[in-house]
Amino acid sequence: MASNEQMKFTLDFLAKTSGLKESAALSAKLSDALDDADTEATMLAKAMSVAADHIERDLKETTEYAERLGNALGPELRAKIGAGGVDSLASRFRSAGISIQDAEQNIDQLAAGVQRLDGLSDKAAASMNKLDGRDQSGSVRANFLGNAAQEIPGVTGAMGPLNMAIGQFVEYGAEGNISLKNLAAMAGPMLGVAVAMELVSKYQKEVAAVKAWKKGEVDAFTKSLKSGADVAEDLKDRLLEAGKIEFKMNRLFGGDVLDDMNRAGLSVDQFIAAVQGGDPAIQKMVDALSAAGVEGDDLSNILFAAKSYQENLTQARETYAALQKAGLAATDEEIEANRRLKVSGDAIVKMLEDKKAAAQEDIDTMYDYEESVIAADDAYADYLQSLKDADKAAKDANTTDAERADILRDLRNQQMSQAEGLYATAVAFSTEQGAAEGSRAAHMLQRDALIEMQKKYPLLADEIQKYIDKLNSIPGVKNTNVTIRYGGGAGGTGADGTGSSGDTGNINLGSGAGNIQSIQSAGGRGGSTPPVALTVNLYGPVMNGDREVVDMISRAVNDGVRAAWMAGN
Amino acid sequence: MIDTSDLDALTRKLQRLAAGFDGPTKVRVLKKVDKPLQADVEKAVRADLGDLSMSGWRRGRPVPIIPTARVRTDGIAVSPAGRAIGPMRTLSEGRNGGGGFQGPGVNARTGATKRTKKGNLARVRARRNNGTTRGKGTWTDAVRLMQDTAPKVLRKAVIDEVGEVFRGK
Repeated sequence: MASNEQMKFTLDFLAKTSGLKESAALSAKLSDALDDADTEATMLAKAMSVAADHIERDLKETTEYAERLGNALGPELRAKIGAGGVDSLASRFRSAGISIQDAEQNIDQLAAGVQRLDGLSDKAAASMNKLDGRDQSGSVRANFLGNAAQEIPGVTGAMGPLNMAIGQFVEYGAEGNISLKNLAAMAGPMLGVAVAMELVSKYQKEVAAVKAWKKGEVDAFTKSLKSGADVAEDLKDRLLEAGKIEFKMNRLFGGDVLDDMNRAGLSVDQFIAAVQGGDPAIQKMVDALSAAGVEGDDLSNILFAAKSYQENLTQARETYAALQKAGLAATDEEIEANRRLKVSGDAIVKMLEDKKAAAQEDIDTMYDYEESVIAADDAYADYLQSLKDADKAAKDANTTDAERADILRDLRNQQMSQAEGLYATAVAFSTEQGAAEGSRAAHMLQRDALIEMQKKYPLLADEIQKYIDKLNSIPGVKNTNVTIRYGGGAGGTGADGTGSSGDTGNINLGSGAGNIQSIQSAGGRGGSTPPVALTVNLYGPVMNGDREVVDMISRAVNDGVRAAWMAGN
Repeated sequence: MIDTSDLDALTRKLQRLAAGFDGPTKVRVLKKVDKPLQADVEKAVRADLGDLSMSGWRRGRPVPIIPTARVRTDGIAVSPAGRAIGPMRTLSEGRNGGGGFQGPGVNARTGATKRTKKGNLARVRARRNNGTTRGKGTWTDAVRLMQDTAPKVLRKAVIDEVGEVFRGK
């Protein structure tokens, strides 16, 4: 028959919010990163704009300069030097600090100087070339960028965590490829994570140079290594987290090798193990795949991916070793200490969780007991009402014998089921007190509870007594065999020379506290001594407590011994 | 120009959602599950009885066989309400073995009939036969219904809570 406990449907709702919190942190980080990049890009754009203004002005002035100088040189010399040469001269004069206004006023003198130089045309040309320090081969755009970078210190040094080319980034944003509208309308935390991850991965895909990608990966490795994580474990976690295994080959090709691995039946764990094992392990993996019939693009892609990641791992380990040497990363001892701390931390967390679970269990057993008590009170109230109804029906002349019999039967059923319920309440009480189910302590607590219930529910006293008797008869109590060995004292010789020794032997006092007998051990006459050997052995627990029985036996024996001694004397 | 205000709003909403599911939101969700589960129990009882009580238990004032639900620390527990435990058990498992009175001297624990050394039926003081009923498996049916209802209602309640956060400011 099912217990009350089995008629209970429990729904556990464990809301895990760590995913939500991580999503929020990722979203915030992305927002900050975009803000930073935005700020730097905006700054650079402004710098570009300022530099462009300067250069445009310079170009305009230089053009005017060259035009004036060319006019002053005259058509023949001008043709000889060439347009580029005139531009160069103009630029040089400007660099020398001669403004266009000065040049305008002194252009004839400048031209005269050039004409003089023309007389030494080869030498002059060679000299001008030597003297001209401006990089003619660079494009205006390159200089433009270079000057712009120099305008704002630190811009080229750190472009933020997204590590993209400046122009690409600004262009990307200007074209509206980053769609941030309506994000707030999306429901579901996983969608938020997916959106954030999509944006980050979109940026990461724009990294053009393998070197930059590798640097970014190594930086991320380094950052995680500083907190003491294991290099290889971190690699595996990052791969699994990203959900893809990308590789770059010859800076031209790349892709996700997971499909190839799936077709080949190669798991991520096996892949990682091969990468960690170095060249021999990778070769072993390739040999195994070949033997299994994997070939062609699948096999080559897997090999390239393994090599690619092996390079990253090697780089990460070298970086980590260098960081350790520079004191910027945890040493092996610190890592071990962190690991032990984590283990003990986990143990503490488990202990606290166990304590919490135990406390919850205690609360629940307390609720079960209280519910049981309330139900018992309700049932008794119903029973009393039923008795009144039965009494009324019995006095009613219209009630038939069959109906009377039914009423009595119902009352009897109520009595029995209530008594059973009260027994269940007593069991709940013993559980609530912490006694183990089926233990002697539990039975004693249940019996005590039932005795109290007899007073509370007097009309059910007889039924309750049956459960008390049942508890009393449960063989959790062992019979006690008490054996006392005694030895009689040697008899002395009396005046007439006779004397007998006292008795010796064992007496079994039987079992249970009610069977203590007083014994006497007679000593010999004349100079007898009381028995000296008294050993009490108790086998098994006694219901009323071991100490009490021993005391009773000791008293009985002592009384007997005293009596014997007195009789002897 | 890149506008990151939407991302900031998303961050705030996700944080609010996490804080809610660590506490008050969970309680709100469980309270939404409470009534549908209790309705499932009543449905199972009605399917077997036609209504919510057995006319003979008690005579003249039948005990309603209804459930009670208690929100515990990390969930909810549904069981027959106090007085309804006995009737529910009888309804589910029957009375007196469900297959007939098993005769006097049947050991309630072992089910064995007490006999003398010669193998004859032992004379014992036996209960009066108060009839037998077959169990209808009512509680089992109720559990099946609740197992089906709980995930659906829970999921909808969670989605409603999430939607509430994301639709708000």
